[in-house]
Amino acid sequence: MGILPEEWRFVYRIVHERPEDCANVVITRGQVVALLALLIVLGLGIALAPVMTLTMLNGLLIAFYLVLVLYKLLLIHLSLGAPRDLDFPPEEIAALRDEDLPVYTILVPLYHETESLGRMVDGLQQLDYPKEKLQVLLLLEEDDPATVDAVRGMTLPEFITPVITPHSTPKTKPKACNLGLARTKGEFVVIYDAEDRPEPDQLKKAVLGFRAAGSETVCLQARLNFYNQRQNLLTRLFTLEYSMWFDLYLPGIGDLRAPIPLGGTSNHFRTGKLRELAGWDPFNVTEDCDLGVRLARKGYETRMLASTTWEEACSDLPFWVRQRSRWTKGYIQTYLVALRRPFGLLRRIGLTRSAGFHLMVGGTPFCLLINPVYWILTLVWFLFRWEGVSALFPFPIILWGLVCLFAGNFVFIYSTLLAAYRRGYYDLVKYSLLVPFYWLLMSIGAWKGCIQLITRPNYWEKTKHGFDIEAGYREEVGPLSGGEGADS
Amino acid sequence: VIRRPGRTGWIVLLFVALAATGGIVASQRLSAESQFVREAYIRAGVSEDLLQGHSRGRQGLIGSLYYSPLPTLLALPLFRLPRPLGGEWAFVVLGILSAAALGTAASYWFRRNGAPMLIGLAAALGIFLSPHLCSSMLDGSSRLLSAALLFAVFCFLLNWLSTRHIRSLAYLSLGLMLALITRYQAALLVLAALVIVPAALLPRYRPRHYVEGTLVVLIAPPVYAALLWITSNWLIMGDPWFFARGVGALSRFASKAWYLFLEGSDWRFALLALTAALLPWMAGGLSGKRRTAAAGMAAILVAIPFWLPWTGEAPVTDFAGAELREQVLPTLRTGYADDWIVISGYRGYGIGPAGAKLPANVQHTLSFYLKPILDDTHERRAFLLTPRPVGPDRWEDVNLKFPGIYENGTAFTVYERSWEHWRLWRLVRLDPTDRQ
Repeated sequence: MGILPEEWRFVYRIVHERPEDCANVVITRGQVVALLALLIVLGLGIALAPVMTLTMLNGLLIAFYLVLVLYKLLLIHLSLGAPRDLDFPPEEIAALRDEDLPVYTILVPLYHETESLGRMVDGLQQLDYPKEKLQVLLLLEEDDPATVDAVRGMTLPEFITPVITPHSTPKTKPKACNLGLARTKGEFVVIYDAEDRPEPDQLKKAVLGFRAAGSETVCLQARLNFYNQRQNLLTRLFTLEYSMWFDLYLPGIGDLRAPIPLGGTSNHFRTGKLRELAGWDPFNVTEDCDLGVRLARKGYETRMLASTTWEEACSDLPFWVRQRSRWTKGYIQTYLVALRRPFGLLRRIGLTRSAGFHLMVGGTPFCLLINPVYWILTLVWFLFRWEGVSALFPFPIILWGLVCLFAGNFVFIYSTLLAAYRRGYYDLVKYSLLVPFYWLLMSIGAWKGCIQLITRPNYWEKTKHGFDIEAGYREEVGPLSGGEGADS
Repeated sequence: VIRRPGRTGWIVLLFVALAATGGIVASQRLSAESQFVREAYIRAGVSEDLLQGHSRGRQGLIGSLYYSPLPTLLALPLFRLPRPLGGEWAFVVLGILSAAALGTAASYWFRRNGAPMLIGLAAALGIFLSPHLCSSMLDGSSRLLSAALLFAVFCFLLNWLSTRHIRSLAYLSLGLMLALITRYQAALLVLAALVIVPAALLPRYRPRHYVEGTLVVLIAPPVYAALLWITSNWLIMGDPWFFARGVGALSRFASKAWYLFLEGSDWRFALLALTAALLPWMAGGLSGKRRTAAAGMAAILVAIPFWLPWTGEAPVTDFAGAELREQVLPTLRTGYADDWIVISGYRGYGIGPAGAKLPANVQHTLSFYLKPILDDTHERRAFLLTPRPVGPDRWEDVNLKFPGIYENGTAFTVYERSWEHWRLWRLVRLDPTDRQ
């Protein structure tokens, strides 16, 4: 079936109806002026009173680090307690009758994913949901004949329908998703990537979750984790990071009811509300994070769903750096879009929750970008005892700087360790001690993304999947309850 | 609309109320002339040096097991504030906040284990207002910080034993870390936890990685703190074990080594913290009305010892400090005005309130490296002032590096004169072991 004009219009609806929410313009004129003014003030300060200016700047950055550390400590404290995740016992899920379940749409964007097709279809068939109430849309791209041909060559179950997106720019996943959304028939819709392995009862849990949470809850984010955790050192560290993000930080953010930066897949939506928001921003390369913010701005709530989707951790360093660069670029895009109306979010969700947004969405990439500066300063000071460095750290900046260095870094390492323990990856706990090296890689990816924001703002760095298959790695899928539940 | 505070709200309210009560008690009992324990003056001296960017401040912060870094670091942000919040008083504020935290935590713990709210609150207040707690709260020592941390450690350990909850394990290990850099004797607790936690895992089969992961979660923070302490000594003092010299010296006191190790640990508070955690927890294991009655009884029982007189708890008067301030320094100021006097170690800080300064001709060093000081003497006579090796002065660097110096002097010193707790030695040549 071809694309109808109204469907194509829907793909770009946000551009026409809500241009202020769209990342097709990276930085607005007002933001350019503000940025230039800031740079001029900074430049003048450095020219006229370099030590004082740099010391003040240093003090502000240290204060930022401290606030970030404290906020993340709070998130960890909350999520280690009794977070507000929506969870349901197996009996309640089993008690659901098929006739009471709504139609559920699954969007699966596919681009150069021939390796993952077979197991993707297997995974979809294993979902514990009546197939007559499932609508699965495989979102293919016209300029990817290999995947299109592979899908055509498969005998697909009836509930799976391929949709071919015409070749156009920007070539992004959210653009394909918007086309899928235009064709969605389900009351609820979820996105899975080709390599995703959602827990079989996830859709039923989501239905129960939407029913329990009330109409203001428009999105449920399932937890993401990896099935190839132990493939190599990179996937081990990546797994630790994901465990920390999805098992410690996001549940904590959910507890505070602050905007949740959604993960790339396994976001379940009420279809009507998602259409009302004009779907995803096709120009944003972290459209998931952006949508989480727009949901909050609209006054809708996102909750965490206690169900895991297993993905493939990128096990190849160059591809990992590309993926990371896209994430950082997207976070900055999202932050710049949100800053177009800096007080809008504040008015809508209040000071505490919007502070959470600034720290997580703005603070995370910012932290990755400035970390190398402080690593170099620390190294220079320890090796050469250069007085220039000491001059930037008068009391009390030095005190708080040391707190950040020794306590802050420890908090991040220890929280990684706790995340591994909580997930039940006991053998990975010791690998948490290596995460400082992983931070270095994250900063490299962040700088690449930052530079690319200027050079190719809407370019989608495609993450290649199937490395685990090539390596002959066997999937390891296990429940979260392997964690502390192992003892109870 | 008046919002009723939730559980967290009550905890914060109780903490603030107890801290305010502590402030009122302090305002009634303390005055500008009040004397604090020697520890407060020493920590105040270290803080002053730290704030002035003096290398001696960094050395003082990390250079001793006895004056461990955490209390100084916690009081440091207050130090520059005007009195009665700043200076030595910062350590009183720290004591009040620690006591308030202890009272709040006790109240929460009693309630959590089934004690009726009012009884739990009354017992916690009883502990908070007890003479022992009040005097410790106002003397500028860090014993209540240590007690509060120990109580937290015991509670989290017991809670983990009951629930195996990861948060309890994490807070147990963080508590151990903080306790370790408040009182080094908490190392014994770390060892105890390393026995108790695996022992608790024994009765059921568990995968090796689970035991390994649990132990890493438990041990990482205290090990990190210890490594940080060792590394900072290596970087600042040039000797990774500088701060722990006293432990090595314990071998000289073999018969009472354990006593000396525990000296300054405030073991009574540690014992009471353990009892206050353990009894309500045991009562909490019962069910129904018996649980409520037993937990209420336990809460009252643990408060009683705080009101009983403690034997051997006479306030430790710093005779050496008073003598230094009142007799030794005036003599040095007048009789040795043209000479250099070296006073080594933390003793150089502990002369009293901030107003009581060392005379200009007295040089204070923490590292006991005399050469740089003697290089500046410009041919003047140089003397070394040594404290009698009793109490904390046993662990002063000069007494550790030259055991017997007080009684017999050394090859590079000649006796000059003495007071009851001090001796003055003339330095006739440089100590050959002195580092260049």
